[in-house]
Amino acid sequence: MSILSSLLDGSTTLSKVIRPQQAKQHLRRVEELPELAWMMRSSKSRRAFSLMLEARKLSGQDKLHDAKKIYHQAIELDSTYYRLHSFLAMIYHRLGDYENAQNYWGKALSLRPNDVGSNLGLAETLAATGKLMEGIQKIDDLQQLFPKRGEILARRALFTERAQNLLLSAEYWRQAHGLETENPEFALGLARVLIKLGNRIEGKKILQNVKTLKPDHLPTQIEVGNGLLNLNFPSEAVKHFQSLARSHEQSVPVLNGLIRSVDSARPISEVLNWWKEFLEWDTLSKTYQSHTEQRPPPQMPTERKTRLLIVSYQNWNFMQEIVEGLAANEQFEVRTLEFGREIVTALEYLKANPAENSERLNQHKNNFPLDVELLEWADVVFCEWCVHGMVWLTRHLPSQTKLICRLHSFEAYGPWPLMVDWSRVDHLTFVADHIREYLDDSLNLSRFKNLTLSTVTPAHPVENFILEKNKDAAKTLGMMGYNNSNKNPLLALRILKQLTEADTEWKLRLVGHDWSGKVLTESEEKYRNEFYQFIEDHQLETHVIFDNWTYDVQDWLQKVGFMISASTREGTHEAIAQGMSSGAIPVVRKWPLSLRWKGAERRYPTALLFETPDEATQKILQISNEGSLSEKSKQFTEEAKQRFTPQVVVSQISEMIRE
Amino acid sequence: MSRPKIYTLLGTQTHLPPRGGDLINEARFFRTLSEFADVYYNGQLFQPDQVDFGLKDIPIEVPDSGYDLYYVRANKDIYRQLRRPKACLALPYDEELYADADALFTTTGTWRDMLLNFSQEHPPKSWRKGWYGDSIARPNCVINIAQSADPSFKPYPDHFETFRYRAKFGYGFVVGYFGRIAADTVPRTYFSALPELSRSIKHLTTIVAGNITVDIPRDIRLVDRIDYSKMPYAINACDLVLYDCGDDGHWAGSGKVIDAISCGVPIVLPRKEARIEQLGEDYPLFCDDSQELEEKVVKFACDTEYRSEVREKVLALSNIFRPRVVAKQLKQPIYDLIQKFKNGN
Repeated sequence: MSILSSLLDGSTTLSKVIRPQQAKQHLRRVEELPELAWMMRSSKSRRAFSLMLEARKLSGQDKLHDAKKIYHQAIELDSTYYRLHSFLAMIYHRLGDYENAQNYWGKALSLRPNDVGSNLGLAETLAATGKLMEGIQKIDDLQQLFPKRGEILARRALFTERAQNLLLSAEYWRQAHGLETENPEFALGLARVLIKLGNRIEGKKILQNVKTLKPDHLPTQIEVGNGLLNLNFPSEAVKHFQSLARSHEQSVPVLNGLIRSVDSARPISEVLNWWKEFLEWDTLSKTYQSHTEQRPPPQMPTERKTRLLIVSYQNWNFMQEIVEGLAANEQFEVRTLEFGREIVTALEYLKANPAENSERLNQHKNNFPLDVELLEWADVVFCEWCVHGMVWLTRHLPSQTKLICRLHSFEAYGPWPLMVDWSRVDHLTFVADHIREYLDDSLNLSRFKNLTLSTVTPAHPVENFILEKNKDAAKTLGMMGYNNSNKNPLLALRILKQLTEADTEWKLRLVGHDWSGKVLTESEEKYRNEFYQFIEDHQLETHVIFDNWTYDVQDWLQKVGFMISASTREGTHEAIAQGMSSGAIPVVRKWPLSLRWKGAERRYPTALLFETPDEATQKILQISNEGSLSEKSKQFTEEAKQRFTPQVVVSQISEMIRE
Repeated sequence: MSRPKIYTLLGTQTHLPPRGGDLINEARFFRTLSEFADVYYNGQLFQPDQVDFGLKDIPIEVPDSGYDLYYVRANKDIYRQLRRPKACLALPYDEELYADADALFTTTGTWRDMLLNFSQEHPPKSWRKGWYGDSIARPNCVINIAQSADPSFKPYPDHFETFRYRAKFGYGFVVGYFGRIAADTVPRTYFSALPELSRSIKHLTTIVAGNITVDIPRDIRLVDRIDYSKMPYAINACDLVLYDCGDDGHWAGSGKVIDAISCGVPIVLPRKEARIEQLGEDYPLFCDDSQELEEKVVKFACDTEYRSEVREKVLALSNIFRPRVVAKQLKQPIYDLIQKFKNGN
């Protein structure tokens, strides 16, 4: 509690606050005293101050719009207190409204020009509007006035880091850390820059120090875990998060940290088993099974349209045709819900009984009334992706509502399916048979009596992809999305190399984001380097074309004659299906992670399937040399029309909803 | 006249990232000017079709000469150091600039006329709203630069991003409000009609994306800040867009109106002089009170034929805001201003 708030509620006295032995500890708080005296001067000021405390509380809860309104009310009562302007500026900054943020920082500084917080805040806003150097200048000016203030040095370090001068940034962090060795923020800042500099050993040492500085402060401990992960100590990060998870079952960031750590520390084929052990799946699944008896199967209305709510957590990439198709169906009233801040999943949910779902949902009414209203309105909820939102739904959706989930691919290899209470789910649909069989084998889903399973492949508007190919397409390979080792663009390069040895006209087009801007694990970084090195070593620079990420996939496919899937793991690899629609020949690796279930073979049975680059090259050259490209191209488009048109898929999903 | 060279600057902005209304509006103005002039922002060539307009964050330097016209907004220090002819925006009011500028720019004809005919009686006090007092310094010349649309605002009915926003907004009948809601811009008429609208329109969803400083009804969905590049899709995802403003809306321009109609999405708004100038006297969705609004919105939501008609009408209206069209009207007054000084006046 600050001095101001202590005094306001009468829990302390001024003399007590400034006792000499506490002076050092309260040094920065004492700076508040002149304002304190001022604030206590009139009833309006006191009211403004009370509002300020209320707004601060709200901003601490991330209720920024509410906090903003209250700060405005406070300023209307008393506009002469600089902190009100400064706090409001911070809210605007957090909301991304930099114009207003700058305006209110200015007002705060006109009342108190040397206020450190407002100056630093203004510098932040300047940086956010692209004026990084101006921000740095502000901090330097401030540092002239207060040369020994750790927070100023820390901000200088942060800005220098943003300006990409990491060595200098580390130096500023060291100075800040040296001034306040007990301050975990400064230590974490130093660790972060050390991470970026690749100084793993010193970074780890600093993190271990931070770990002991505030052992009970969860946010700090989460930062430590994330830091270990970013320093590429994934096993240590797993241990750290694992121990936190045991004592903080309600913490969402802890669970998320653990998930990321396990993903980095283990090969993907082992991740599910790690989680099975950690979550004690055998016991957990029995708990879920015991819930089955408590719930009668949901009834679909006969006298009116079925109310269908389709939910997703931000990613709607594969839903456009489905939502539009279902909305056009007379049987349904369709609404959508994008999960927001209410959807958080923590380990504590695993203990929740679905019999109490309505009660739990009710608790969200105050903060998310519209979301709750939609969830209560629906007869059927269709949840896209089997991730934390699905876990949440099984613990919040009223028992009479039918719940359907669509699981793609990556979810099957992670922890979420283990956390979903399958006794509360009516139908689980997969995008591919091999994923369905893998998960069923792993979790024995058939033991959940009320749960039915199906496979419905994704759809796309095939007709939109049928465009004339460019002349160069006949000797052009294509790959969509290539910036990770799972997609394995290096394998595509090996195929390209062999093709160029036969004919120098062959090209490879790669479309999508490159690796820049991604935080890479050690192995991913190594993979990326090998990829670029291969191009250099084999003089493929003029044969590899990097195309920027685009919405206009159809246009891009006009330049491509052969679509490559070189992945280790895929659900359906939709880029290949889209390529087929365009008439590109699918060249598909037998995805190693689903070999046992013949994933690629069942998804693309007519494709040029391969296991080695040699095999792929031979098959491509055969089509190219025998002059059957045009004929084959038409065949693949025809096949795509039969299999991937939205009408087929929408009709399958409609049946699933009504059954 | 060959393409004139125009120096421009907004405040202390070294370049023009699309953040905030002023920056966006200026960039649109410069795009229009670029149709017939070489526009230099902070000494760098403004290139309408380049990322960030080809502008970099470089220090501001005051040019000695080399330009045919200097336009500076909200930076009096720099303005004072520039050669003539020089122009500035007619807002905020500044006695020195009003008297000194070779031209003041307004964004509507109503505003221009208001300045040219300013007296104690005209405009009414409520229109002045803190911007103007009882009198103003007489300007030398006032040019209506008008407002133009950003070409990226257009109909995208089938675009994935439009679908994504529709999904985010709930896939009902969506009425969207984009922008600041403060005491003077609360869409009160709509809010008071909302309970009745909710009863009459199935799955009515009102979304607000912007800065809100006042209490708004609980049955409104607040949406996180939408990046400028995504705004066309967010607007496209709405069935109707709402607009409200204080009495300064009688003369001030509004980019939001242009944004909505350029996307082919009708906008519901109060009948104000400047809006009539932009949309015409017979614009079908002017609403002066909650009852009129309720009737019109319900008709729009429930009568599909009427809805298509209104959509077509607004899309046709949006043509006049294309930069090329606006530039045709603007070219001559700007040339005249430059020529006047070349002739030694």
